[in-house]
Amino acid sequence: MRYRTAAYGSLITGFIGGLTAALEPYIIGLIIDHVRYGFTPAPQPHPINLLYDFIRVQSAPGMIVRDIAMLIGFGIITVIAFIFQRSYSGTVSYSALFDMRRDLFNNLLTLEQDFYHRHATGDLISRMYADLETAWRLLVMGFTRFGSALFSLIVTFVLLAIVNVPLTLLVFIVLSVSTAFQMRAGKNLAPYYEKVQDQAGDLASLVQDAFTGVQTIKTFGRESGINRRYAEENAEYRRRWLYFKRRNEPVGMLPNMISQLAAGIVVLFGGVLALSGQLTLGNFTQFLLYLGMISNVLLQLGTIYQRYQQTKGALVRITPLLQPAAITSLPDAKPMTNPRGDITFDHVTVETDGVRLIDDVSLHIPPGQVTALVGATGCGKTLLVNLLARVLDVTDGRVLIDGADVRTLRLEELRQHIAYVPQSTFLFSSTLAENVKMGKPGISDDDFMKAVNISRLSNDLAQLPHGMDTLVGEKGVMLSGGQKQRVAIARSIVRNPVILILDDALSSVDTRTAGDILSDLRTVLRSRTSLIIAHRIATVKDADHIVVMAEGRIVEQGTHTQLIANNGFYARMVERELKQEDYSESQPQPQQEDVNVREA
Amino acid sequence: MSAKREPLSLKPEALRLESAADTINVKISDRYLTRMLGRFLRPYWLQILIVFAMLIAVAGLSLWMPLLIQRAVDDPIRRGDIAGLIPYGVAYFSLIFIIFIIRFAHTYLLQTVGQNALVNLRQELFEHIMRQDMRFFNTTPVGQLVSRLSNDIDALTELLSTSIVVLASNVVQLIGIVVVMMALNWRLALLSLSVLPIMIAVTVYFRKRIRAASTRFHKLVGEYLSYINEQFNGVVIVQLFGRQQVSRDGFEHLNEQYNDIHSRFRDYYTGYASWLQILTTIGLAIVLYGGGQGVLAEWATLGMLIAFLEYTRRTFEPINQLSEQIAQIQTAFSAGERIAKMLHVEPEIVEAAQPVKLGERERHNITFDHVDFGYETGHLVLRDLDFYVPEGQRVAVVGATGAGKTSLAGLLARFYDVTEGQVMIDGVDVREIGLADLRHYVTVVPQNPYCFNGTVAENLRLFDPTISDEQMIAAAKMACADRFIERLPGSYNFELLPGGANLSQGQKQLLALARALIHNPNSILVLDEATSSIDTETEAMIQEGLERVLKGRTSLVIAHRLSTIREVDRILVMKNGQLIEDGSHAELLALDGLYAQLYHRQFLELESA
Repeated sequence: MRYRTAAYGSLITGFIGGLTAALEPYIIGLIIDHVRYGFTPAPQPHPINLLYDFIRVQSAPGMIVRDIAMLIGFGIITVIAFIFQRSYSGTVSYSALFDMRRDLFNNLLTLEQDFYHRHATGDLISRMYADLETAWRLLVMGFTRFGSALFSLIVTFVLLAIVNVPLTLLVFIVLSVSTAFQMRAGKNLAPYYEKVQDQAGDLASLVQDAFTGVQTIKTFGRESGINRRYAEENAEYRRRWLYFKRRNEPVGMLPNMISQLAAGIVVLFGGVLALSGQLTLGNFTQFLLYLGMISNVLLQLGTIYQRYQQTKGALVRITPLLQPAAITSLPDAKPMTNPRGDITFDHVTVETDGVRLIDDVSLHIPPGQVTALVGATGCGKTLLVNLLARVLDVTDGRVLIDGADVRTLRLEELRQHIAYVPQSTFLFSSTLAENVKMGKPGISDDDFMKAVNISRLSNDLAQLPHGMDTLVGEKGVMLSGGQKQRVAIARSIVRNPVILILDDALSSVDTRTAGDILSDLRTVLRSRTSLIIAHRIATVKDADHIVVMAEGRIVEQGTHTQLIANNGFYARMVERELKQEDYSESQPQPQQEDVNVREA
Repeated sequence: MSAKREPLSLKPEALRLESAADTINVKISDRYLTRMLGRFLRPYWLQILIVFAMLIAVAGLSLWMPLLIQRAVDDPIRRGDIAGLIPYGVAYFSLIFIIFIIRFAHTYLLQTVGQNALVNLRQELFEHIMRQDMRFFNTTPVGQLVSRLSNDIDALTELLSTSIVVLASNVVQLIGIVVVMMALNWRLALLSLSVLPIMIAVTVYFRKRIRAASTRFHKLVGEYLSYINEQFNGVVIVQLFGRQQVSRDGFEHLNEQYNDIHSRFRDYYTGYASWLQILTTIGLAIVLYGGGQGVLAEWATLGMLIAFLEYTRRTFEPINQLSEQIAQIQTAFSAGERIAKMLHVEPEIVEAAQPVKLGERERHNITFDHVDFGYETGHLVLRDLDFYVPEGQRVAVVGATGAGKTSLAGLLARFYDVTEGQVMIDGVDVREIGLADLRHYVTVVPQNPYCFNGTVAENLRLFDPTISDEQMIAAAKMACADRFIERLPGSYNFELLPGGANLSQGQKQLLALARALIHNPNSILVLDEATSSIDTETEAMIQEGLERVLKGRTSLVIAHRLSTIREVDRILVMKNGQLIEDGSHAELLALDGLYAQLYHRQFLELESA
């Protein structure tokens, strides 16, 4: 707890405020007695008489004025204490919330892809906002109210006991019973609240999903369908909410009733005692007023307790967000000095939910080699390359870079040296330049321009209203698929990586340009290692080494010529592609260097 | 309420994380908001009436209690008659129980009503947003919409369930107390109420400020949610590119603002509560002083004084509770304001007054008649586009990178309207055709088809439970999608990850083709081909699937694959938004123009020179 001063300040002012607030009914009772008994000192000894003697006023109206002055005086102290207490506790609680938000966000940034597959974004947002607020409100209430409320309660009982013990005891018993009852009833409610919030999360996810895919819905005119679906989820939310509230509300209302019962008891017994002379009217009034105060306090405590139940539910939902990242650097992680880009997959297996997505793959890629990965969709190519930057970890086997298991290396450095160009490019709501630089410090203008040129992003600049300062992303200019890919390529080049992975990243350029880009990349990256996932034979065939995968295994490897000669999987793929790209005989022949095999 | 609406204009820089809906120049007054909420509460008028009756009952009964005390003090206690206390005791306790029961009942009722009203509001908001046109969606971050439908509506929940009860019961109680006090002893009553005007003044003063702060707060929350939405969506990229610091900085910035505004909001509230508290004490002091004098001067009894203390306390209690509620209420109102603004947005794509129905035909023709179009004013992406596609013709569109080609799809499906000229189907301007019907005539398959949360089957059905399993599987077979689907674990019940992350682009296209077959078997198909090359096996399937799907249909394919070109009847070549070549493959090759150039490079997308 970093805000010790403020926390103590809050507690102290809370106590002061509670004390002076508790004195108010006492003083009022005094006044009543003074009025009743005509301003002679009351028959019962009051500790406060000492104060009166000190001030020494004797005449009747004077006494009233003095009483009133004391009342107002204490009232002002109460308010001032209250203000300070709020301020202190505000500091504590707002800072705490600030920190909580930041910690949650920062932690979420470290969590692995698997986590994000299991939690929809809409749900995460709901947890990070709604659930956090719920949990926090309890903290605030706890600070501002609980302490002073409890203290007030204690002082009140003490003061009451001074006046008349049996009555106080009675009141105490009645109130204890009601509190116990309330606590019991409230305990069972937490899981219901959790269910309510779960549904809120689901609802948010649905909204997210529906509006992200709205074009599809409109295309097929399925608005009514999704409206109906929303209505169902909506109704479910209502059901759960009402179920919870109907059980929660009475629990909160109970204190009120109990305190009124207690008041009734006071009137009855108090009346009796007053009649028998054991209680002055002033004391009687005091009891009544204190009961009013106690009922207020109990109401507050009751609300806090209710909130506590709700909070437990909210906390359950927030907790997963704080889980430690599964993919991190070990404490003794090794740095990557002079990385060469030597890659080894050593009997690597990746298994999820019982399905083997990569099955005992072993492969060695020496530094500087251009390796192409081909294979049908879902054969595991993307998954395999994802292991390098530890987007996910292996289930069995090892991935080695420069002889070291990637799990033993410092994660940030590992990722620094690997650049990944994915199939679909994600753009942030920011300038184009920032989307390329990605906040990496120390990128020279030279390197930047080089990256922009090699990726051919430079060609697109003319079309953009503000060049590299154009705002892109969700709220900015819509880039075409090809333009986005070029951004992704520029992004990867500008970091000067040791290992470059292109996951189908050259599909939006024609063959010749792709070849140009590749050879440019080679020059720039010099002896760096590249992995290219592609489907176009023209792109693949110039690779130093081609690896063919199917169903999570490597089925063939070699150079293009070797594989053709092998007449296996690869050869069949090539044939299929050429068939698709070929023209029938009635079409004029293309004039180009890479001659295709013509069908007989 | 003024409803001057400016057309949605796109100012990318300024609209960073805001929604286009926020910049609409509509003044939403509190009265309008109250009426809006009233609209949703109106169906439940009977229950509300009952609730009010109960509230009055509770207030009335509660008022008896101090009276009982007064009588008890002035009568049996003064006289020393113990037995005489008993009926008072009995009456008091029974009152307590009765009040408790009625309170429970009206709370229960009101919360039910409140939730029902909210469910309706939520549904209406959702459907309203769903009705908007694509321009709205392309300029509004999804995070904003989520925020509107969740946290803004939640703010209203407090209002409708708790605050209204508190407000209403307190007002009723207040009125009741004032009446009783006046009846009992008007002098004491006046003394009691003397601080009330000041309290009201204080309330008015703070209310405005709290409201303004609350509005700013909610706006910020919207931005905050949009931001984290984006970060979570792109988190893998953030991690792989070590962009964490940038993300954290961005977050810190918003977090600090959030904190600032939130604390200021609370400071106002604290100030308000403090004032009320001191005024309460002063009020009590006044009653005591005056009452004390009164007893001495014998125009008041002690019993009255004690009762009045109770009453005064009960007068100020509602006001104090109100101060608690005021923060909630202001929050709710500013949230309501945002919701109202959203409900004000109307799509620019409006249904024609008398929609035309096209005749029952299996195939349709397309006309683009001197069409000009731009997403933003002043920047045209299509210029004087003019062509006719007869029934059943298969047309490919190739040409320069840029928004021009994709906008064809948008215009035909009427996601956007033309700036000049007409787009016609079967000779009828698309603006004349009913929107629901138009959906049956035009199907757009985008580059990156979207997959919803759910199973493959759900994505094929698209929330239409009337589609049978057989229909679904038949369509999947036709589109050649069944092969990959059946290889997935669970086949049609395979759960897709958010956004379809576990399918490749090729597989998604196959899915989209199957969808097109299921829902609109006869429509014009506009296909925006995926740019990423697909493995040859899937490509073969897509080709075959496409062949079957396109059979006999009029189609416009924005082509990226050479294999597609071979199968079309006609090719349109575009550059800079204009149609520059138009003919069959052979004709265009013979022309030796742009098309020939593209074709020889074995690629259909010209790099902008």
